[in-house]
Amino acid sequence: MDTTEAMSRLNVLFQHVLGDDTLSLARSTTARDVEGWDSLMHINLIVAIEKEFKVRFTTQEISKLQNVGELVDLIAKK
Amino acid sequence: MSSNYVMPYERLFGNYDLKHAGSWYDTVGEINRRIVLGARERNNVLVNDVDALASWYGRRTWYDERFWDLAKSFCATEHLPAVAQNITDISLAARGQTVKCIVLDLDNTLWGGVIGDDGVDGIRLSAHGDGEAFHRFQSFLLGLKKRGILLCVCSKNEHAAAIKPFEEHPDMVLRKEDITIFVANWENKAENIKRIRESLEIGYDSMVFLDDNPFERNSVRGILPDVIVPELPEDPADYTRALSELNLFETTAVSAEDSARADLYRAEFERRSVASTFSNFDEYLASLDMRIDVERFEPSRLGRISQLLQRSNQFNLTTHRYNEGECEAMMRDAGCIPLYGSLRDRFGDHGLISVIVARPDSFKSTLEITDWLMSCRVLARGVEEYLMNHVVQEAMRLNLEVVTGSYIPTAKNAMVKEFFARFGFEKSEERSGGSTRWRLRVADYQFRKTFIQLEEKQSTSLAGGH
Repeated sequence: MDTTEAMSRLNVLFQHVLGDDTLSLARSTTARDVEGWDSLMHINLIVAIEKEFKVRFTTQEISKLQNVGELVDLIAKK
Repeated sequence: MSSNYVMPYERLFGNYDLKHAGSWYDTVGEINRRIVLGARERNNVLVNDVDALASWYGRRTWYDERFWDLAKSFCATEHLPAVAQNITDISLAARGQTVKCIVLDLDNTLWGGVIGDDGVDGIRLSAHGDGEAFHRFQSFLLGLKKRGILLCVCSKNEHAAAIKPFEEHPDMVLRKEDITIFVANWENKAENIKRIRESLEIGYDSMVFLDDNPFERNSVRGILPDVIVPELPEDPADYTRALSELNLFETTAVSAEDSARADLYRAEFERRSVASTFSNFDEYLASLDMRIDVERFEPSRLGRISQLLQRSNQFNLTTHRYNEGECEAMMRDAGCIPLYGSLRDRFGDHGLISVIVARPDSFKSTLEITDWLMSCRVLARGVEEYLMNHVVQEAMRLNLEVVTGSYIPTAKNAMVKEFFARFGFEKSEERSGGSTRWRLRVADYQFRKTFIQLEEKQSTSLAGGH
């Protein structure tokens, strides 16, 4: 999967999980930039991503992520 | 509220963990035990049995260690709703929101089959084998009764037939004495549940209604939204499991009176019977979007028609057991009007549910109803009314002035003894043995209001050869 496709699917997924249709992700977006993206929501997002893309992240992969761009690259790699 | 701990999956000594005092496994078990003992000494402490949830769903899927490591989430997120539900159940019970009474259907809920048709010897109920599912379910219900939950029966049946298994069937776990209020009639169930509630003086939200029939469940849900009406699985073998999983019987205290409660109530209500009136049942019927198809016998349906003729006992006015060949002869007989009705509603197709045979006599200007039977599954929905309107219209179309009919009593058809009287027929004859003849002037007939529509399709004339 290329990063463009991963990004657009991720955007839809984030909109759904966070309940915000206007949310627009960029590669540089971090949890601090998005309202409601706290530590519990982070788990929800990871679980939702794993279901949507049928992937599984390791603890280390999850904890190292710095922004949406790295998340997209990780999904694209899997 | 104190939660216990989920038993660890790391068994360092294998099965020997259990035996080895001080193993991790043994230690967590001991901590859980102390939590319980501590809670017993303190009335205001309730236990949230998380270990029970984990073992139900499986410890294998219970954890997601990654999220424990990252966020101290104590179970996988998919199981959080179950934990939340558990806490909610305990909290509601602590506020006094508990189930006090279970209202039970009989046929295909407490036993397999239809008691009115199959009889005590024919229903499926046994301590082993095919009827064991019902045996197990009854044992579960008896356990609930013994711990103070009232059991009531609400069944569409003749009372005499419905009570019989409780008195005579050797494998019935529930006996007559276990039932606080026993209602078997042909009224709609919501109305009967209203009466039961009034008698017990409890809230609708403390009542659970169990019925295998989706029609009845939806009817009660629609009219009495506070009554708890769980879905029952299709296979009776799963009834007990499904009901257990819902955890409907959460409580925060047990007292000595609990186990005596059912008997106290029963003594009080032993001789009360539940009478009948309607409320907004019409609204419910209207919401069903019922469609009927009334047709003259046709070759493709003869098998089912003859089967219904053989099997219907209760709603059957004359109980003539025509075989398939005889049905075919009637179909070809121009002097005969053999009709069948099939019904569907928004919940599904009930199939062919009624058979009526009528014979016009132009000399006497009468239409004689020789046979009328219907499946009890579709009782009290206006099907009989719809079909009687139809028969009278048929008489009018043939310029006949009178409709006549007979009732021949059997051991099982008491429910239609006054069938013709309901529609304004006058009794013209009564023979020894209880057979009656009935007569209605077409001009006097009051057409009945129903909530059933004719199935939309190109329909040909129903009467043959006129």
